Amino acid sequence: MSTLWRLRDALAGTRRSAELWLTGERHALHAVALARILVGLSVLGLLVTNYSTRQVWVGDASAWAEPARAVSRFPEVSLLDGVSGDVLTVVYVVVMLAAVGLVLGWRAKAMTIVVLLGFIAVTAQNPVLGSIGDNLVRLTLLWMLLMRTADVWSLDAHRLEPRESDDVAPDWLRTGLHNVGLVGLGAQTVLAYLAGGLDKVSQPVWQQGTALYTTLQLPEFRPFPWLSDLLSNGTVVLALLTWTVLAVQLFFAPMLLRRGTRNLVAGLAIGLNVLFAVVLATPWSSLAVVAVTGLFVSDDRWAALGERVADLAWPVLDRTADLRYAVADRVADWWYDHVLGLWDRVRFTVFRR
Amino acid sequence: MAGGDADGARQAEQDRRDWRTTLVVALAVLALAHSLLVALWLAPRGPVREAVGGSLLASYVDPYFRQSWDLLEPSAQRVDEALWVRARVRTGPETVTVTPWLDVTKADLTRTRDDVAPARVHLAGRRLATNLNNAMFALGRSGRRVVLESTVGRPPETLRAALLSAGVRADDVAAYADLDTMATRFASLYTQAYTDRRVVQVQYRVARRTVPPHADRDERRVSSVPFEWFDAGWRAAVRGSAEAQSAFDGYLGVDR
Repeated sequence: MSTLWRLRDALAGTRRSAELWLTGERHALHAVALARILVGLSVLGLLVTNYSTRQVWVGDASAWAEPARAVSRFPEVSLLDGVSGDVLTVVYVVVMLAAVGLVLGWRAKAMTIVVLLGFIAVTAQNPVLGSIGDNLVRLTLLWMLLMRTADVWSLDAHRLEPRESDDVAPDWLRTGLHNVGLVGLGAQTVLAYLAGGLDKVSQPVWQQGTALYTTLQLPEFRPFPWLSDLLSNGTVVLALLTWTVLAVQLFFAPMLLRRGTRNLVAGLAIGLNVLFAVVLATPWSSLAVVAVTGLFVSDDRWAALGERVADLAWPVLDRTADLRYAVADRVADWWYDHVLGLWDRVRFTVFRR
Repeated sequence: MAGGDADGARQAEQDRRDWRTTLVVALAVLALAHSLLVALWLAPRGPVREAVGGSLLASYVDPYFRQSWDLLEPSAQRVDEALWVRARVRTGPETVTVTPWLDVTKADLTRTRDDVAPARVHLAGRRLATNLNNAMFALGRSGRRVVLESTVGRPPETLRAALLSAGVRADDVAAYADLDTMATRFASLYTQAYTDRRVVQVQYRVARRTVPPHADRDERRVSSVPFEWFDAGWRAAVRGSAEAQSAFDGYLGVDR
């Protein structure tokens, strides 16, 4: 009987802790801000590196991929389906600018929506050339819609007059939604690692330890052949790398349970993703994985790292202040002389004076 | 009286906090239930998944929450693949000339060497080759013979019927037919970029070879392994719009 009471007390205690955690304060604000920055950079990097070939990738000349596009279930496909190359370019640039806004944390919630819709609309135009990283970027952006991603390290946080009208929900709901979003994205990340780890251990090539060797021998995964050979030719390095990949992905979830092992597994996972970003030439999808993995690093650590980066950056910003102000003056002059002048001319032509 | 008012206000505040907390907890439970559904969708077939309903799960997950087991790099690969295309171009009112084969995958690899962030379009040859190789394997020997013997002027419906009568499953026929359309369009734009004459027919071939085992690394590399080829018959070229062709020309660095 006493065991039942103790179990009931324990459950009640867990429930109270969960309620307090969900409603008390917003958690992991620095980690979430970093995720916003890295996912924004991931989308921006993808769009910039594909800009010159965008018409073949997703524009006029992607007509060859039409049968694959036709079976896509994303409604956003219709946003760019059949549009001219010029319209594609305009939308493409708007999404790039929104990604810049997301990185800077400028009107972060609106930018998240624009980037999410634009990213799906662009990448879903050519499913043949999709990447597994696309799924993670989309899922992260979806969960970020609930979160307060710009409470720190953003232009929104430094606005002189924060506009309450930007937030339609009351503070308690915003806090609750942020924490729920964090739970959802955290669960999604754990699921991705667990599924990745289980998938690998079920394959004979991973069991034999040669999966990385065969992958790194394929021409498309060897942008730097000397690096691929360095990692895959030697037995010891190959075994170490294989075991680290398997251990990190398979034991990611249980290692999160203690603070010490949590930092270790998150650090190892981030290190591996940086390595494979270069070795496999997949920087943008790796950046998205780093973004969500960083959620499990203690927020104090990120805050301390942010302060250290700011300390390093201040002297540089201080020294270049005159130059930056001069550039800003030139931009402002150009804006007043050309853009506003042109806008006035258009306005006076269209509307009655 | 004042004490009663204060108690009432405290109770009202407590009630308000209670329903707010309940709402947020309910949302968190929904988030976890969602994660459980995604996990079930990812899980191999089994009694639990069947009980929930595989197609129901798929309709919930697809498209926004769709993901795969290999959401995280590195994924294991061991097959090198190639896509080659060539064309018959009009050289006179009654004559055509066959161009040499163009190695699409090799050209892509040349463009992406030493590039840590290659453009996605450089994957086109490789992806088409991978998908076509898989589709060709699914067709079986008799189906592949039909594909090789299929020629220009033969409507797609006839090809499908021939594949079905060769014993190929309907799903595999449909998958191959879509890929055949994509490869034909891609080959048309690609080959047209390299000639001033009009491309009237195109042909593609795909190949695959497996990376030799790690133990043999000092004796044999994948580049020394011969390709296994699958050929398709000639197809009527699909003329792209002027904008599409111009974009392809620009991508391939062809100056007109």
